[in-house]
Amino acid sequence: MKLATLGWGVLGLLVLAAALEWHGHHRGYDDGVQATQAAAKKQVDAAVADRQLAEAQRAADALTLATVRRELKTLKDGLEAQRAISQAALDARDQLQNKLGKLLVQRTVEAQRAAHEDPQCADLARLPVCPAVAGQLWGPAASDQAGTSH
Amino acid sequence: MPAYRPLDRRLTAPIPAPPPPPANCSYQGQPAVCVLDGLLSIIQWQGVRERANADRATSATVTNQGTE
Repeated sequence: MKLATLGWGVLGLLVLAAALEWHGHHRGYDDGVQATQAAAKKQVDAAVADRQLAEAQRAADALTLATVRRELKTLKDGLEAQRAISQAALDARDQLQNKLGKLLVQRTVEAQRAAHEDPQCADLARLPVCPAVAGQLWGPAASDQAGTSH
Repeated sequence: MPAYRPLDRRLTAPIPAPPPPPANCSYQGQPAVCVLDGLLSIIQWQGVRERANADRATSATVTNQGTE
């Protein structure tokens, strides 16, 4: 009877020791799992943050590129429009000069006719330009022509 | 937004002076320009100015500096 009690006592102690051992192991295991999970979560968080940063950067770059493209397009369109205006002005240039030339001939003819027909201008039509002035206006040839004959 | 481009030679070529007026009068026996013809030659110079200003306006347009 005494022996049996002792046997139960030893068995109880063994069971307690086993339970404690199991509990300790389990706690150690849990700690390891938690540490691993924390480390993994940290890495995942860092990777997510990196990805978000990269995505934001990419979006900003895309926006910048779009803006630059749009500005270049505006610039190109403006330059093309100016080029067209320039070409049109150059194309019209000779025509404009010809028109001015014709108007000038017309005006000259009319002025000469009016001047030579007007008796009030007759004195001026007979009066020669003096050599000094002729030389200044039309060069030495005109001055010689106008009669500084030596 | 300036758009520089080389100016066409027609716009930069020198404009020749108009020919001197005819010598329809005489001074001391030599042919001379009459005062009336001399005055009328101002019209030719006015024409030169018009041509020059027209080319200046074209140059301004070609170089995108407006039409004034």
